[in-house]
Amino acid sequence: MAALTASSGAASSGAAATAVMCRGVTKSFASAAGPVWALRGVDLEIPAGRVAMLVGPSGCGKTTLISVVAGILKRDAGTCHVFEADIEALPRRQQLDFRASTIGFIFQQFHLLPTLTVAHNVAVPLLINAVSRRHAIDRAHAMLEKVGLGGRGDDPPAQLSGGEQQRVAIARALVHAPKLIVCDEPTSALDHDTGMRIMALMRDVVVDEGATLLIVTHDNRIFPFADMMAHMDDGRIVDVRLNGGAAGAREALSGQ
Amino acid sequence: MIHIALEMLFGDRAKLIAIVIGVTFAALIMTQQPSIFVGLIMRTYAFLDDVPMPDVWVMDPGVDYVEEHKPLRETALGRVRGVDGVAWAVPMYKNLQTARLPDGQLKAINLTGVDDTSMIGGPPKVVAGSLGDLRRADGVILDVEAARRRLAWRDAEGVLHPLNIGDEFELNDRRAVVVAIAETSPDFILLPKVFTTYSRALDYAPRQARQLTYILVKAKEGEAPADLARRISTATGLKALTAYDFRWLTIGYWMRNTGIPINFGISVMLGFLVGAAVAGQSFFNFVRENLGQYAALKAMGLRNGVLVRMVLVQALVAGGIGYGMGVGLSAAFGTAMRGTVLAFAMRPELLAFSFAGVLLIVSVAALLGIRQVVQLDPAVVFRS
Ligand SMILES: Nc1ncnc2c1ncn2[C@@H]1O[C@H](COP(=O)(O)OP(=O)(O)OP(=O)(O)O)[C@@H](O)[C@H]1O
Ligand SMILES: [Mg+2]
Repeated sequence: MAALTASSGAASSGAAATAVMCRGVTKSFASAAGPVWALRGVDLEIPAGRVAMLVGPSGCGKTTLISVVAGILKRDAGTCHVFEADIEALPRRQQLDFRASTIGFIFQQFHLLPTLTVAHNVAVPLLINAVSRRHAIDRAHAMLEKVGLGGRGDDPPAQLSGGEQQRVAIARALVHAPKLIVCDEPTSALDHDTGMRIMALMRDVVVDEGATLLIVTHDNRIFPFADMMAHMDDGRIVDVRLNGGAAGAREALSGQ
Repeated sequence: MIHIALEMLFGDRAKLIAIVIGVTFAALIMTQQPSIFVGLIMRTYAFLDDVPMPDVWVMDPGVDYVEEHKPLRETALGRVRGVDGVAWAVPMYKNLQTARLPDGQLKAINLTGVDDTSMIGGPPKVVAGSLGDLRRADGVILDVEAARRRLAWRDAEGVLHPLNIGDEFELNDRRAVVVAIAETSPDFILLPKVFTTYSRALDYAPRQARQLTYILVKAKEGEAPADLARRISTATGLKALTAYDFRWLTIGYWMRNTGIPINFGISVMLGFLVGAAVAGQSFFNFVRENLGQYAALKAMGLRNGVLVRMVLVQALVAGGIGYGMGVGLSAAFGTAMRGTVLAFAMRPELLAFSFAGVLLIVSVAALLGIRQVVQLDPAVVFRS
């Protein structure tokens, strides 16, 4: 396994915590023609507070990897820690609680509940975390403000454009202040300009909230937003590059 | 999250309406059909309800239901009166006879002869004339339906004449004069009802049918009717039943010997199945269409237990609305049909029955939904 890791990046930021740490992760799926190996030993380390992008050809295992990282898919072997916790090793209840409190999700298809208002959709993660309804909705409105949808809280999602719906999804992913946000192709359902704006928004808000962003994407136009690019091929991480410019700009900003 | 579940349900109008229509249909059929059934069954013993005074009815051992008329010997009356615990016992004549109307038409009628002196067994509510008028020569009382419609006759010009007080017709070729009109409960055989005194009834009856039919018995103060009935039975060898037992004997007869319960049973079953299919299918689709969202919720850490509760609440609320509407429609139907020939008795037990049926539908629907969400793999959220 010749995979490079981003450990040097974490070291450079001194005491910064590690958001994701995977070692030798494998995952196979059963099929009629025998097992399909989606992950063949993944080593990956993502420092906290960064925007990490996972890129690679179709079928190389990107979605599988972030599913394992987020704890919604069981790995076959290896270890995987999110902020030092091995989700899979936790009792089932705590697994769910950990996911509910620590991880935010953004999906390609948004997966907003169509019959709920925008604000109620955004409030859902808080409700899952047993925040009172009223408080949850207040915080949802505040988060919508941040993503530029201040006046749209009472609309149904269907009245919003694709870009606006993805902004709702971002608000939902961030509303409970999770430390890690995983996104699968967050811009691929959007046109180019909208995608760029969404990405800029995601980076700004994530930086603001101090969260870590793990994005799977094919969309090379959003690559400049990354602090770190992990390239995958055939179930392995084959290359990791740190984008010094972006990370440097970040550190300069946070040092002010 | 329960609030969210309800928002999901009420937000999807089309599905909600389909589910509610299914449940409403089932609840309506499962309430209305048994109500008609019970209404019909209650008619089979309506005569007992019209004669509430006696505690015990004595009859030929072969009698199986209220309108089965078998002769008793006249001596039976004396023997019954001799049984310990009998406060009083009066005779009653009951049989079908033939009336000849002024236009010559022949009509079958249900003739009741009530005790000459006490008039016990007479119609419950006389609306014109009085019960005592039966003492007048050849006097008979008709029920309202009979007077107005069933025994109405046409003259040569084709004009319809209802029978009124003072009008005459013939019973087995003997003169009968209408002296009063009475309301009676609708019964099952729906023949015109004619009341007269016991002794005159024997005169009207043809020789071979001059018979004592029932002996109506009142128990002495403090005497349990069931005990008295048993004692009369033992002492006389006749069938002696409390009004309650006679009612159930009659119900049992009609239930066993007619297709009525089967017919209604089939209707109820069909209503249940169709309603369950529509509601179950719609609810299943409602859950299925939201599976992507449910998977997202599961990925976000929502527990299965909460999801199960959400689906249960959705099923129960939709079922509750449907049940209310079904029962409401059934009650409206019953109200609209009041005063018509239709039998309808929406008893509280029937509401419990249809409620149980709806609960079954809701449970099955909820189970189908719950199975989907519980088995749902949250990892599918990233597979578009
Ligand atoms: N649930 C599953 N059952 C069987 N095979 C699966 C399953 N999920 C993924 N695979 C297989 O595992 C491999 C990796 O899939 P994955 O979805 O992780 O790829 P990906 O890099 O996300 O691809 P894409 O860029 O097309 O989204 C593929 O060969 C895929 O067919
Ligand atoms: Mg993928």
